[in-house]
Amino acid sequence: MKIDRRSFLSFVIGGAAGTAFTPLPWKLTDDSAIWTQMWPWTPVPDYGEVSYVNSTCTLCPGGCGITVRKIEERVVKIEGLSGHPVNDGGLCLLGLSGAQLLYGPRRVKTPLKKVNGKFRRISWDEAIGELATKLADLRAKGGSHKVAFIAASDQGTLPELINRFLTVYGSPNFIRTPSILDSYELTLDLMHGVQALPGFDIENTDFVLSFGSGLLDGWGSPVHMFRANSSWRDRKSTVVQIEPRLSNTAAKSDKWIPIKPGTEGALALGLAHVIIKESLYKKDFVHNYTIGFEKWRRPVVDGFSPDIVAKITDVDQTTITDLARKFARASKPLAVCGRGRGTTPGSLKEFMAVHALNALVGNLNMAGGLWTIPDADYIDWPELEMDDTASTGMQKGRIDGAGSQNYPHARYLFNRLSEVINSASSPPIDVLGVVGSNPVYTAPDTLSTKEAFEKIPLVVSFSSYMDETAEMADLILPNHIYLERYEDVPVISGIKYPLIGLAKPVIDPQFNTKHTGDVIILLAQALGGFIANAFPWESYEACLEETLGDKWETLLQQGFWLNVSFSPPSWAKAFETASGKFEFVNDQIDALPRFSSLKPEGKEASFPLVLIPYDSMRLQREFIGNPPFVIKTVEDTVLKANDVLVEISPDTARPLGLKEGGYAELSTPKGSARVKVHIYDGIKPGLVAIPAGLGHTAYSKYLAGKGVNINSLIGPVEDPASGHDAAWGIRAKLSKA
Amino acid sequence: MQFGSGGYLPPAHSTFGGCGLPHCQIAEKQKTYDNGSKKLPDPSIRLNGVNWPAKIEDDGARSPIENRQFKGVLMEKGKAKKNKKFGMVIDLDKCTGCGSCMVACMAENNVSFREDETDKLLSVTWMRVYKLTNGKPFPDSEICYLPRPCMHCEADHGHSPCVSVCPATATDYDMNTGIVSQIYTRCFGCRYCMAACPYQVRVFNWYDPVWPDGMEKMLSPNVSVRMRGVVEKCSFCFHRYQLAKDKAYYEGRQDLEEDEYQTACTQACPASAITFGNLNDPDHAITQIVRPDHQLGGRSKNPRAFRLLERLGANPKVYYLSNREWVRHSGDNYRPDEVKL
Ligand code: SF4
Ligand code: SF4
Ligand code: SF4
Repeated sequence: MKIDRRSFLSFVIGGAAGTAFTPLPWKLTDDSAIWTQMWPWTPVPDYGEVSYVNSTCTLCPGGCGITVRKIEERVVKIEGLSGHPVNDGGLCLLGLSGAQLLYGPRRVKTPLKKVNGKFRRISWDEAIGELATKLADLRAKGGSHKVAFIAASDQGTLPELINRFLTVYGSPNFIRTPSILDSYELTLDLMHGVQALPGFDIENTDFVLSFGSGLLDGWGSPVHMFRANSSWRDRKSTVVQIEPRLSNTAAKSDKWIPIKPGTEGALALGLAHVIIKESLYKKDFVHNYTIGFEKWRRPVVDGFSPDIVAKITDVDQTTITDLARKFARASKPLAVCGRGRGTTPGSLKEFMAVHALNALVGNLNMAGGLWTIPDADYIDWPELEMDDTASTGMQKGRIDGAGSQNYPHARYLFNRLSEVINSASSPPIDVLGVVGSNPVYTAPDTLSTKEAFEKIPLVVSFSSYMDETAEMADLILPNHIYLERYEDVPVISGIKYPLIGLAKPVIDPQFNTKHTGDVIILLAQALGGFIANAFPWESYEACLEETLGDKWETLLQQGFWLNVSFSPPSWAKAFETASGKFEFVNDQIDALPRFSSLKPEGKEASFPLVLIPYDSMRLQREFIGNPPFVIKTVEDTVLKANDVLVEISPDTARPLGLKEGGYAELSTPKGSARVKVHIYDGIKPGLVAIPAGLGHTAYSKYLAGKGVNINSLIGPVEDPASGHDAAWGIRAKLSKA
Repeated sequence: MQFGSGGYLPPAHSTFGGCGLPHCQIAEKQKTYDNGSKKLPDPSIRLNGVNWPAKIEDDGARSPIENRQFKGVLMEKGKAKKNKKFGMVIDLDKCTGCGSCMVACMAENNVSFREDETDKLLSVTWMRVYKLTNGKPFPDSEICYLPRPCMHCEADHGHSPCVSVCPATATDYDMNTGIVSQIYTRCFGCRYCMAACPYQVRVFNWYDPVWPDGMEKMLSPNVSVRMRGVVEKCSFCFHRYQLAKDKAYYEGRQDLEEDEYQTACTQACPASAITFGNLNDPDHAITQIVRPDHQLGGRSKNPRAFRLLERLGANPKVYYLSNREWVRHSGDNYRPDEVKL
């Protein structure tokens, strides 16, 4: 066949047209999608009836209201509850990830007992029976005071049940985990003479002076603080952030004052100096409702002039004078303190110096100021009847020394625990219960904490997750998680009204777990006698309903109970000190403003830099470790593969030959770690900042083994005024690795 | 156009005719800007590389590309009333970088996660919060966070950069809502759209999604779980729109209230930094904040507002607000001689 030009062309054109109009290529495209993507193992979630259940998030002390979206009996998503006084619809990323905790791979699914270093499943009856026998034996031998419990809060029915159990059993050793609440409570106790929580009227303040508080990094009630910040923006309020690192809070503030860390108290007194010298304080309040002002003002005027303070703090004189004037002249100023998320109590004198600023501007119990909120008082149980064993046990001193001659003001001194245990010849604690906390991870000086825990003959963990403390426990009695249980949550995180939230079961327990409240009641019943009599309830739920009385219905329906009519007492009635006035000085603790910075541990010669921890919303450093969604949000300048990045300024990096992303050896008097370096302009030269919340050894593969736990590099520093941990950093060395 | 069963003809312009790809448009614009001007060009008069007068007049002298853009603007004008155009405005002065929006999105949209998520190029995230710095040394350094969902670019007449290049019609610009969809089962993973998207919004599933045993219980049936080999991206929680509309129809209503359709990130943001709504509805908060000029590709009349790479002309529907000049300027690429901060 001869192929001429004409037939060739028609062949080509015909072919082209044919290709264009045949469905084949398009069909193949589509098919390739089908062939390559229809994997049978890709899950196809089931449809079903959708429902919403309202509850309260208890993953931090924030107290946010949540509404849980369910499909049949599956929790699909957790959202913020609109109209809730704390969060009004918003939610933090941890609260949003709650379903991953519920269905997480590291739930403790049944009671476990450690036998020869390995966990073995046991039944609830066996577990409670064994613990009850142990407690009965110990009590019979007169060792009731050698039982201790650690919990994250001392308010609400569950902590009160534990406390009641300990009391009637005969042990004074209920220990609350540390936080700035310790220092704030003490400040209010000493200066106001009241046992109260601090409440911040942040919705109304127009000038916020923050001494290192991570207002947007998890301080107080995190979501509530975010909302406040947005309202400050809308109302054009001023926020001044005093801290050595450009944190998210500093980044959002109107003015960032990079101070030399540890000297915040001196700056507060320097501001007071200017306010007094220029007569800018609220005369009415200071003259009529306070005592000791003259005694207090002399050392402030003599010792804290701007030039002296500038030398101590690295903040220049004009900034100090200017700041003092602006603060005192603002219509509703408020000074707050407690570094970062507020997990370390801090120096009492620093708190009192900052609080004195609030007194000088007269904002106490006033709009936009600091309010004293009475502790929740709805728990009104019948008077305890105790036997002699219990009374004898209760008369023994506390293990942590709180309330003793050396530490007369502190109520709980968790930070002293490991030292006391490690230095004793025989274990001062025989049985330790751990509820809603993870001290092996969160306590400073991990090494000595572990040593102490190993020395305790019986550690009982009530954790729902296999966390660091649970791993070290001898017995695990897993609690339901917050989505499976009832619990009343009196909000203690700085909200200005008395507020109780109710967590309630949104779903049936997924595993063989038991409410810790029920376990306590069962234990009491097993021990019998006065102990059993102190717990007349048949279950925790019955106890809760009875305790809450007329609030129960409101709580069930609304999810929270709020005392809206609350207003703090007026100045004439507010102070319950001996003088009935606000006390600037307190002879009991030698509170005269003689400033001496609490030195970080370590010698400058061998550790030329200072390591400070920093907090971020994207890293949880407390009881709950980051769920997968949350760890996913962590930036690659914080965590890269399994390496943590520490922040240093270019000036610090240069002489050490350190480059962005390069490896370095970070050592402190407490330990050392291999880290990577992130060069950051937002940090004061001479400092190394490390994110808190990494370095878990427990939890699932999504979290374990990533980064370094700050607590393994830092130890507690005892505040001479209170006995609490006041460490804000530690001396450190960084060298190229 | 459909041929036989399951065969789709890709949009005409990507197969035949003039190239609508963004790189060509960028090249075109580059010429316009390389004019040695020392001042920051005002995008309102140089939008899409064309000098638009305040009032649109047709002088007929346009290149083919300009012609298409011009038509887009005219059509835009005509239909502004009828269709919805969902958009978002994020107040960067309020955003605290907390990351709630990211997690709310993951939880809402069945986003998968892996053991190591620190390689951000591989990390599947629809909403991503970037950290901007002003580049100044201590103590003048500043940072700002910038959350970035899909911009749902309208470009001209819905020829979004990504939509224009998809050979499988797996992604589409919906003229009724202004939402750029992504149909996973159509996507065969060529990743042209990822190359085309100027905002690096799209992510490819290099791995099978795996949920730890039991955690697949939290998967939502409203959003399909994606499989290895497809591209995914933010959908403005389109399923929430569908659910809200279903509910409205069921209750005998034709239209939605503003708060009935909100994205998961908007709802979750603890700082209320995100405002979401219909840019074509003058009553919606977003329209009042943004004050979009529909004649100029939706450019905002609010001096605090800006969009990312506005001069590219992709006409994104996500706006940002900031009082800080350096933040507003970091939204676009300027030659050093264009801007002095
Ligand atoms: S701030 Fe606290 S209480 Fe609120 S959602 Fe987050 S973890 Fe829960
Ligand atoms: S949730 Fe809101 S404040 Fe948090 S990062 Fe996202 S936009 Fe910013
Ligand atoms: S941002 Fe990217 S993915 Fe989204 S519409 Fe624009 S081009 Fe497409």
